[in-house]
Formats: sequence, C-alpha cells, structure tokens
Amino acid sequence: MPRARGVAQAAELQKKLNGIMLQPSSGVVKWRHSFGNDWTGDPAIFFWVTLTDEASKKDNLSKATETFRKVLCERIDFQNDWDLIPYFNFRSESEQAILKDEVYA
Amino acid sequence: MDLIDDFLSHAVRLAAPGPPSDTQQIDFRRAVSAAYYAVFHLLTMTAAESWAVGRERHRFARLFEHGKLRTASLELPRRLKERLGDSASPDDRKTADILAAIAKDFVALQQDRNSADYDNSRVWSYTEVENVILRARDLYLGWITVSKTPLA
Repeated sequence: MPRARGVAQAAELQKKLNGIMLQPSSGVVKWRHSFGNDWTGDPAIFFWVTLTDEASKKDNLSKATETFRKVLCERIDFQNDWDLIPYFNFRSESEQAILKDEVYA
Repeated sequence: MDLIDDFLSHAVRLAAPGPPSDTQQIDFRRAVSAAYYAVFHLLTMTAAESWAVGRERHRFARLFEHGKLRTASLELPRRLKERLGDSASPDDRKTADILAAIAKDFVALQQDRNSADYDNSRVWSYTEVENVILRARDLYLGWITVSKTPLA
C-alpha cells in the first residue's frame, strides 16, 4: 500500500502547517500533530490542541474548536491533497498541566 | 427522536466537569460512546424511515454498518459536488455545506468512539469529552435543519 502523500512528503506538509498563524484571540495555547492510522487503518493526521482555560469553558468551546478546525481545513485539504484524514482533539491548559500528555506537550 | 435525546442526555450526565481523575475515566469513555451512538442511531433511523414496510424499519436500521457509514460519509462531499454541479441554487449549496459538515463530524465522532471503547492507554479530559458531546449535538441540530430538504 503506497504511503499517504502527507506522510511521504511530511516536510512539505509541515511547511504548510508552519505557515498557518492563528489569531491571538483564538484561545489556542499550542498545537501539535502526529501521524498515524485511524480505527480503520486509513492514514490520518491527529491534531492535539491545548486551549486556554477560558476558551475551554462550555460556552466558548464550540467556537474555539470550530474556528481552529476551520482555519486548518480551509487552508489545507488534508483528505484530497495529502491522503490524510484529519482528527482534532482539544484539551484545556489546566487539564494538560495535570495530565502532562506527551502528544499535547 | 426520543432515543437520540436519551443518548445525548446520558452522555452529558456521565461527563461531569472537573479536573482529570482516574475514577471518572470510565464515565468519560461511556459518554463519548453514548454521544457517538446518538448520531449513529440518528442517521440509521432516519434512513430507515423511508423504508416502505413500517414494521421492518427497526430491522432495516440494524443493517447499517459503522464502516460503511464512514466510507459513505468520506465520499459525501465529493458526491454532493458532482450532483450539484456549477448551477446549484444558494439553498442547495447551503444544504450541501451542512451535509458535508455532518459527514465530517460523523467520521470524527466514530474515531473518538473507537478510541474511547478500545484504546485503554488514552486518558480523557473533560474538555475532550465535552467537545465530543458538543459536536454530536451540533450534528443533530444540523441534521434537523436539512433533513427535510430534497438534497438530504
């Protein structure tokens, strides 16, 4: 099975990702990504996004997560151009301070 | 759609806000699963509603497979584009956008559910679970908006 373009040409995709600047008001503290396979075995890119505690509050969460997904998916067509299905995960800063998960670090 | 509301309410009850702890992981996992099953049943039951024989609808709904629904969801944006062409009305375009968003949400929720049910190494936080529930709720609301349109 051929490798997904996004994995075979990860440096090129990384360059595109690096070019994405988020608004300071987006509520995003930091974001990371990892490559892997989803539950069906399809190649995927997983985003691990740490949000401010404010942005993680119930009333703000939808807006913060949707904005992040929109910014990335409007600029990069992961599925068609890079053969990757994007998946997004969001955690608050204070939760990550307790859990210290490597994928978010 | 009482069953869908029940699944979503169950997910909300299980996902109590608070700092991460070991004891609540099982509730978080079940909440993610419940949120996914809300949308899975929403889509399968809606499809079954068009099945001519009323008494067989529940059985028909059980024929749907998770993997096949995923494949259909991944292909939906392209198929909508092909079907609408360049001369689609603004209303149809808006409906197509909502349907494409529903398809994306479904694929994402299915991945979350698999992770919650089978990846025991993953530790969930309240925000992650809340995001899953909100996404399932948004999918539900989006579906209500477009379900009666011819394109849907």
